[in-house]
Amino acid sequence: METIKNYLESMFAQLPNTPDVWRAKDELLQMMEDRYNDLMDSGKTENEAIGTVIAEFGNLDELADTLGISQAMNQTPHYDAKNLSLEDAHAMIREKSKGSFIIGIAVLLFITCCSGPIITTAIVDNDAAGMLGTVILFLMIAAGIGLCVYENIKLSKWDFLKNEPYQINAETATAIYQESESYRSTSALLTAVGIILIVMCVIPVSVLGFLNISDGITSLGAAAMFYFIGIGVMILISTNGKEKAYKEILSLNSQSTIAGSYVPKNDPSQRYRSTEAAAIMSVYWQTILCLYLIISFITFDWGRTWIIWPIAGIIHLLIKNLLGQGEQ
Amino acid sequence: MIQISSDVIRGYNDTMILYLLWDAPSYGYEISKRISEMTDEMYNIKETTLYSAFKRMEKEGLVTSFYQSAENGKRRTYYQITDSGRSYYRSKCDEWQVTKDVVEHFIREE
Repeated sequence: METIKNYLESMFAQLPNTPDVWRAKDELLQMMEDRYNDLMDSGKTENEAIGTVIAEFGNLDELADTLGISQAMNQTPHYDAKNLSLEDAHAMIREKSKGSFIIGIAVLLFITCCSGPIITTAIVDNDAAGMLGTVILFLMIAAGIGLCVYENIKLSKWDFLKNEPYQINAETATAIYQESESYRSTSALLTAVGIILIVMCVIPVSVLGFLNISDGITSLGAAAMFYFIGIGVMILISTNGKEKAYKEILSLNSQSTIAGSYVPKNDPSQRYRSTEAAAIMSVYWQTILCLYLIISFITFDWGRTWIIWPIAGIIHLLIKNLLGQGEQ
Repeated sequence: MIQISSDVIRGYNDTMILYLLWDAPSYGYEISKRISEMTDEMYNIKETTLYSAFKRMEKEGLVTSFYQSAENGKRRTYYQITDSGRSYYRSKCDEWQVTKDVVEHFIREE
């Protein structure tokens, strides 16, 4: 039955994505499925049944007038998009999610680099320790930059997907779509963990400060704060990276054709009425995260700055309702 | 076996479908199967032909469609003949009688 489904999908792949075409595809599938089951019940082998069903299918040209797609039928695609195989799609997602994990580690190094001097001077409070700490700080920055450069070069091998026309067939689209759906709950959980870590970053420093054991211990708490934020941001970056890889693959097909039915609907460019709003909203949460970190570091009022998150949530909802296109 | 030319029979696909819908609503595969059975497999209607006939007749108001769940819980599109479908069928039957009479004059008996 999968063979028949894939046959039908490939026949319809380049047709316009309209309700009429959808209905035709559904109903033809009903008929083919009925015929297939009937043939199987009458003792035919699976291959015979599939052969007969496909032979009796007929010609899509007959549907052109009925579906108002004569124009689309005679139009040859203006380019020959190359096909991206399921293996390549998997490899791309694997490498991109690994890549964003490594970028996440680089960002972790950037955020936590100032913990170097904090920790060394907390242990031994003299100039040599301060010096060593500063060396560690620069080593961490250098390592972070190294990782970023390395990953960018490594991932640039997938740039051909953006520069050349590529498409995926129905089988690949379905498989990738299902994987991205099953990743959704993991991703939601990881995102929550990341945000919780960032919001909780103030806990070690305030607890240790409250216990007031020694200045050294209290400043270790301050160092721990950077690690909370760093690990939180790292989780957010690597989760987001994998989701983006899924979306990139699913967005290869044109949304105006049946093959593009799996193009993510929650892509910001389709969610907002104006392209300006879409552009702003696509970096909304990253901006909020930066704002939160900047304001918190400047004021050092971690006990209050978390309020940015619920406020940002409400504003996001408002913008979505005012400028959004509404669910389809 | 002589294969029937689909160009000739095209004008009478509607007649066959309406005949089969006369007593009760039916769905795609059932109609296709009964056409094959009634003609002793001499004419098998293609799926795309059947679907475009349904849609055309629906647009012209000769049939209406509705969804119904089958025994196994699967949702199918059923088609039902309308009053204008019935009168169209009658006129096609009359037309066929005339056509048959006309063509008959030119058929040589061996």
